Amino acid sequence: MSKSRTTKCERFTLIVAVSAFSAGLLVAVPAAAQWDPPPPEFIATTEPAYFEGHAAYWYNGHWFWRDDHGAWNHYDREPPYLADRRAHFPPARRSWQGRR
Amino acid sequence: MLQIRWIEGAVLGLVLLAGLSCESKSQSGGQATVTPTPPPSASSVAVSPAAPTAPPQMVGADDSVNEELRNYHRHHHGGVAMFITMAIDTLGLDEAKKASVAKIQSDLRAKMAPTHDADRDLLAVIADGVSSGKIDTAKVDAAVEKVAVASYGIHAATSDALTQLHDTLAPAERAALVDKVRAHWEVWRKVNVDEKMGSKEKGARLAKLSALLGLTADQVDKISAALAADAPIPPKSDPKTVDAHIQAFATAFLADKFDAKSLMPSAAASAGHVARHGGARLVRFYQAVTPVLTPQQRTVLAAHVRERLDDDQVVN
Repeated sequence: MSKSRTTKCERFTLIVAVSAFSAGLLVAVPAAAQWDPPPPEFIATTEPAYFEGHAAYWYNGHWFWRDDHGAWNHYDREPPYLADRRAHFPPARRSWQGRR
Repeated sequence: MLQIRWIEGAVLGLVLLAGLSCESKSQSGGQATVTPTPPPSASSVAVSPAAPTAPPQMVGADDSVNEELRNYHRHHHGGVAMFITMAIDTLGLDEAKKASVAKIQSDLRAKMAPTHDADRDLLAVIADGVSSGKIDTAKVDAAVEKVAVASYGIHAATSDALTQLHDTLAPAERAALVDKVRAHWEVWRKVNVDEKMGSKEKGARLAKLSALLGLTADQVDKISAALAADAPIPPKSDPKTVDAHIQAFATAFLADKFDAKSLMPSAAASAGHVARHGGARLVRFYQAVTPVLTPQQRTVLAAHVRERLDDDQVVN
């Protein structure tokens, strides 16, 4: 009886461990794609917001900005200023094709 | 023994759960995270307020605004000065600064009128050729050279306006402008240099043309074969000179004091490249396409090229 209970516990722990590991993998894959910085077409056509001394672009649900060395960064949590700005002044995009 | 194994399993499970929890926290709990992306390479090029053309949205790499930009850069080859003027359009300045920058942009556009006119003439010659069924090589070559020659004096003509622009913008706005100039150059290069001539891939120029005209498989194959054949490299054309000029512009424009004259050597070395390379590629594409089309398809395509004459270019 005692042996059987312990074996059940072992199985349960194993299932939890495997599930946790699998969930970790599933979370990691889309997160990596989520942080792809905006492509040049987007930078060229989109108005940024200025915050903390740099231009920030709202792209795929996140704010991206370049540091002084040119590397892309993003905010994990949307700063309140940018959230408020986005709510009142949604980022505008521009096309030059066709007569204006 | 069994108890020890049970504890080992439990510890493993907790460690994995803790690892998962830590991973989630690192993605949502911190403030800023560095995305390991290389810095922008040097090689990545009227007064009208920036006109929003698409609603705020979750934007992917291949949305319609991005495609319109690629199509624009396939047809217009005004060079680095054109990239700078386009970059101003999306700086996202506050209302107070917009008016003074619009005045500077108007001056820039006026100084670039010769390039704009030559660019329009080239498109008109191509449209006429498509319409008639034969593109006059001598005429289009002369038209391409006219765009290139017109671009030679642009830097000197726009130096004062560029200095005013620098002095009007804040450091972060200057950095944004430089980033946008690099982005335009990168897109221009993507569609005029990197994209393989005759490629049938989705998103490539031939695929777009096929969708526009309803080309048959046989027509696509013929055009692809004609475009894939080796083409002569346009003379006096070196993209590295444009890389160098854009890098020199970036360095100078990001500095506290801007000296437009310091850019004269790189501007002179790179002048005409965008026009010659882009213009030659543009001509070659339509020369390969035209003989394969039916009269009806030629009419549609000529109209499409004439529409590009009305694109919102750097001078109105």
